[in-house]
Amino acid sequence: MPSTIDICREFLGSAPRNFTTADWRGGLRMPPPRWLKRMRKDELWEIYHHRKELLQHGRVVWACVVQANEVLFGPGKFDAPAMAIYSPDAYFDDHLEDLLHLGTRLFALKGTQLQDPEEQRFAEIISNERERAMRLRVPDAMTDGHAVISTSIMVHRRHLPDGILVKRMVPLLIHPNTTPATIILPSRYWPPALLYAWRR
Amino acid sequence: MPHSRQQYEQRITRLEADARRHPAWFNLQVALLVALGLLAIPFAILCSLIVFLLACLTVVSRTAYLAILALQPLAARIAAAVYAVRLQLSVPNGIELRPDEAPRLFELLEELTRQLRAPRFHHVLITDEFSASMVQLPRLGPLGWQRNYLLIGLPMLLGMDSGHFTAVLAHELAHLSNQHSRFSLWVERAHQAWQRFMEHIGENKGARFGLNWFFNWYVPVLQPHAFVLARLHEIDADRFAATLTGARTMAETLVASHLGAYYLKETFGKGLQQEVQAQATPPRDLFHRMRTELWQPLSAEDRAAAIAQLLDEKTNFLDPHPSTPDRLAQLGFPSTMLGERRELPANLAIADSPNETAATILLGSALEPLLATLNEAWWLSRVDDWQSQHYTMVEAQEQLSRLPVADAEDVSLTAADLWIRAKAVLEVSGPDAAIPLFECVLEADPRHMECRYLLGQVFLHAANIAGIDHLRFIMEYDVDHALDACRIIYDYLGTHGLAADADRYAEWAETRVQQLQQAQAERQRLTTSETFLPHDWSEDDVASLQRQLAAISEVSMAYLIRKTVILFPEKPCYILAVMLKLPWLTFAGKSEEKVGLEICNRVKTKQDFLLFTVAQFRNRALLTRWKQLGNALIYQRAAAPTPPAGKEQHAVYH
Repeated sequence: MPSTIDICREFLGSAPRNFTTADWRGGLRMPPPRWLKRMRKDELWEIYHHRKELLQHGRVVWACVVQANEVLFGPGKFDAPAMAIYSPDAYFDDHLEDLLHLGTRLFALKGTQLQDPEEQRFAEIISNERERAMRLRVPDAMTDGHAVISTSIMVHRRHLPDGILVKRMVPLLIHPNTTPATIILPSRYWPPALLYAWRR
Repeated sequence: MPHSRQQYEQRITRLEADARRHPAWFNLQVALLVALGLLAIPFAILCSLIVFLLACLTVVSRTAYLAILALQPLAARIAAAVYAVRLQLSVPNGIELRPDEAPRLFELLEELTRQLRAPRFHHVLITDEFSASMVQLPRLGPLGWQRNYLLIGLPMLLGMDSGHFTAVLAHELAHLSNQHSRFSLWVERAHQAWQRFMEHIGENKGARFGLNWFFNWYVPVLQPHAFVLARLHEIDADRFAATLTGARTMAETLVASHLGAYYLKETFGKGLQQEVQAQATPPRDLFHRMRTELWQPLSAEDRAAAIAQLLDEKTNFLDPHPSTPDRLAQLGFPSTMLGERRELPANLAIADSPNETAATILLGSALEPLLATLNEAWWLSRVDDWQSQHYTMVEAQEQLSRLPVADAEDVSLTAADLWIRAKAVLEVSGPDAAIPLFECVLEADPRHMECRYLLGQVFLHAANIAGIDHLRFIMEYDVDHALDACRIIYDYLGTHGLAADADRYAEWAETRVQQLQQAQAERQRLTTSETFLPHDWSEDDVASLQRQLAAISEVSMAYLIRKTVILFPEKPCYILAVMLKLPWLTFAGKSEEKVGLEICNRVKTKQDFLLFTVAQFRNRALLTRWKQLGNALIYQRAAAPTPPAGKEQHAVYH
């Protein structure tokens, strides 16, 4: 049986993808939240500049949400940002547990003072919840040499089942050659096993 | 109106007896209650409208003020009604099964539907639980047009033969055939509508006028009626299914279902739990394993324990299903007494394990893909918790191995050493091994609150009432955790049929909440008539606080003092008064409230404190008194402005 992430890729189809107007206006719509419109220089705008490209040409990989705005953990209207890690390395297709464990270790750096400057940089980003980092490589010492990238994402409620962030693992659309921005794969492309696990 | 758990239970018992004597009258009563609830909302709006129209009539002669005053409750009630009606029921969770994937299951469903003259199921969903249920959701909200969902647990299909599983399906179809779900849905709708209506109105006094009384009467009356109705539906569905499959098959199904659920929870589930320590990730083949194990006959020990548990089961006031012995008795198979021991009726044959499971027969080629999908779904849903539990255990084990080898009775160990060891042992070896160590901690330090709290919970989890004494100690001496301890005892007593005792704890909790509110009000008062003392924080703690405050650019000055309190003096009241430097145009920067919240979120200290943020500190008398305390001024940003003179203050945060 193919893995969950392979089924996500199969459901989305191979690039370049064509979406109908109904798709764009309906399930795939992701307008920037109102609060972001007041912050024109925010790096999260990169996501909105490249959202079409990501959907049409992006590749689906596993991501682990390291920390997220707490409003996302309950029902609500507003979309909010989060910090996630992902890897373009196919190793994590079948080793999601390693990505989740790395996410836990990174979150544990919050509020700590470290000797290693790279790790300290991470600790600062995680501690300062308002700082954005669209593409920051996680120190190799923490990843056993696998390329793992940390990024700021926008969690669009309409793309999550029931509009709530309940799990740390999400399929993410990346297109590293064009943009550091990423988006969560809309849940209409999630396989039944992932949808069931999410709602369980 | 039942206020306490005991009154609630008495009311259910009385209603149940009434409903059995006059079922039609009871159903009518519930229907009237539902209608009353649903009509009361438009009636409340109508009343507001009449008041508004009357107020409009007076406008000509007097002033428009009255009409405006009456318009506000009317608008609030209309908005709340719209919100209440827009109740969204979520679609049940499961893996959808199509008729072409499992034709035999759908043929069986069709056959049963025809025999019971029930409406058809629109969706069949497979779940990972050992249960089956049905859900009806209206497509058009209050206007109806139901969509029917059948939820089947794959473990149930794996653990039963097709005859017993047919009885389970017949029970669920009986609910559908007799419109149980539709009626219950209306009861639920009335209940939810009022909850949402009042929630939306909030504290609007004008809109609430007259409604508080109705709401406080209606909900406690509707709840026991809804519960009794659900219980009657269960009994009715059993009887209905028995007419189709035979009372014996139905009774055997109830026992087989209990044995399967027992095995999964007690043997399979506990075995899985033991794997957490050994493996960093959950197994990827859970349902394949389950299929193999449910196929095996139960060991004599497990079987005896499962039947003993079944016979001990009592009908309770949380689950609308009657207990299995009561359901068996309704079907004509009452349990018998053999000396002091209760036994299953001798004429009830219980098969050890199915020769061929319902899953094999009814799902056919769909079984393998379903097993694989549920394996993956279960893995994805558990991996996070499993990992966190695993690494906590590994950490505890490492901690344990680092500790010096010593007996629990070793007198050289302090309470703190024993506590670390006890917690690690609890994680690694479970409660049985940890309890003696917890007791040693309490011998060394009888006021070790964390230990008492944990030990109390461990004891109550094992149904040992010694846990109540430990939790009562917390209620008496630990202000912060007293209410939690009380709630644990209340829940324990309530679920063990001791409603009267549980009510005593509920009363205690109510009193305590009032005391805490008074204490909160006392602590929040900041006037010159209060008594202030120098704080007794260590230099390190103060230095840490200073560093954290320095990182928030708006903070210009901070005072830390201790306030004398009458209520709960054992819990010291520290006040952190922070002076802020904010731009005079509030939209150009952060507001006082935002900075206050930022301090609450970012500043971490060992001791709790009450935060007062003051944009422009004006109470010179207080300031002078604090300065006299000596160590009160803990932080002053370089070139901070001189506080201007003036009067009172401030925003309070906790």
